[in-house]
Amino acid sequence: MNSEAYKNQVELNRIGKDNFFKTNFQSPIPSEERTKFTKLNYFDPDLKYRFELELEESDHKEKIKIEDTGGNLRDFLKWGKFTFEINKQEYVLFAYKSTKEETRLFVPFKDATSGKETYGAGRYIDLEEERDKIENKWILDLNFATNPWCAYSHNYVCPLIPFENILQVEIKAGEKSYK
Amino acid sequence: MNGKKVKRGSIFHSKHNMIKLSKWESKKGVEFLKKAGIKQDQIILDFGCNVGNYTIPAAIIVKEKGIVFAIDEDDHTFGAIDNKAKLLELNNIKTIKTNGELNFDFADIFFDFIMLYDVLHYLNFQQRKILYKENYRILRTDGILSIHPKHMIGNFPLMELRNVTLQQLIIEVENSGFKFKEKIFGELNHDNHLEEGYVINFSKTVNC
Ligand SMILES: C[S@@+](CC[C@H](N)C(=O)[O-])C[C@H]1O[C@@H](n2cnc3c(N)ncnc32)[C@H](O)[C@@H]1O
Repeated sequence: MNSEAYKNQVELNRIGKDNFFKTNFQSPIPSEERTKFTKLNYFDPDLKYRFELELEESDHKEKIKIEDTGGNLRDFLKWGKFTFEINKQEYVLFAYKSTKEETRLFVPFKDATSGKETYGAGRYIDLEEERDKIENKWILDLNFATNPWCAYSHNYVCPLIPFENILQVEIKAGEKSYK
Repeated sequence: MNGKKVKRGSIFHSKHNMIKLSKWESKKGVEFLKKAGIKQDQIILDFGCNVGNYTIPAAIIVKEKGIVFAIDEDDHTFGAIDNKAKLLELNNIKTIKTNGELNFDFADIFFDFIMLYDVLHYLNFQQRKILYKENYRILRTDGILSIHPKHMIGNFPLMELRNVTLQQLIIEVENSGFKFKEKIFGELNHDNHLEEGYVINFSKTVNC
């Protein structure tokens, strides 16, 4: 993919997202902060963090509980795993679904930037089959990593990151800390 | 359910982020909806329920013999409703995901109270007419249609109600067989923040 075209595509998405956060009734930005809000903070788009990967689906979709920031335990199914390389080193991220019927994959993760340039409780990627799957490959694009909404407001509860999805590498892609 | 298909969900929110139960939902919201006319044991429709800001207080009032049908075309918020219901041990909420249709699989004269709260601005005049007619069909003879009118002239963001005054809105509802009853003022939840506002209530006129 042409890196200039890719950059434009990511930036267009970010403009849409900033606009959603500023104006949409579902925005997680507290209403009293919305007039001041201009945009979220991001790393520059970088193709190095975009992967086209087959999902190694688990034979037995293990039921697990993921704790959220409100202390609730939420049910998830460990659906499969993605293996990819950064700087010639192999890493794995597990993908979850909340029910069998769901078409989205939930890929929460922490990395070596968490608590520094990025939100301390980690970041999320939601993959939508219609949008993010081409034939048998998923597009796992870490440039689209987003903050859980707890990063913007105390009014939200968000799943914490499972231990197995903590990466020992800096992912300098996607959203940075909000403030 | 049949009719139109409009996709309005957003790609910018993960359904795993859940809004917390607010104090308003279990206290002031309850008081307000009681004042608006919801009573124990009733059957309620919350059309365009979103995260359930009104679903929850309504379910608290109607108690276990009543039921609240909470409809939305965007179901990413249903997890939040379930979660809040669990915290309050409410088992009387039925969430229904639709494709935006305005005709429902509910029997005639089924509901005691229908809430159209902060939702009419999504619908153009023709769609609103279909919805009022359908509400007329499914509302009991002594039932109440309650509207929280937002995003009319002067209230950003302006959508389908941008050129509609309150008086015009009342007339269009009355033209579908309802009679304007009263305006009920109080502290309301709008987009998860609290503001002073009002809802407008209608009763059914007979022989329409
Ligand atoms: C602004 S929210 C209002 C939420 C809630 N009633 C309140 O007052 O807090 C409007 C909701 O209506 C839903 N909605 C809009 N048009 C709809 C339709 N045709 N069918 C079902 N839901 C609809 C939207 O998805 C959104 O969740």
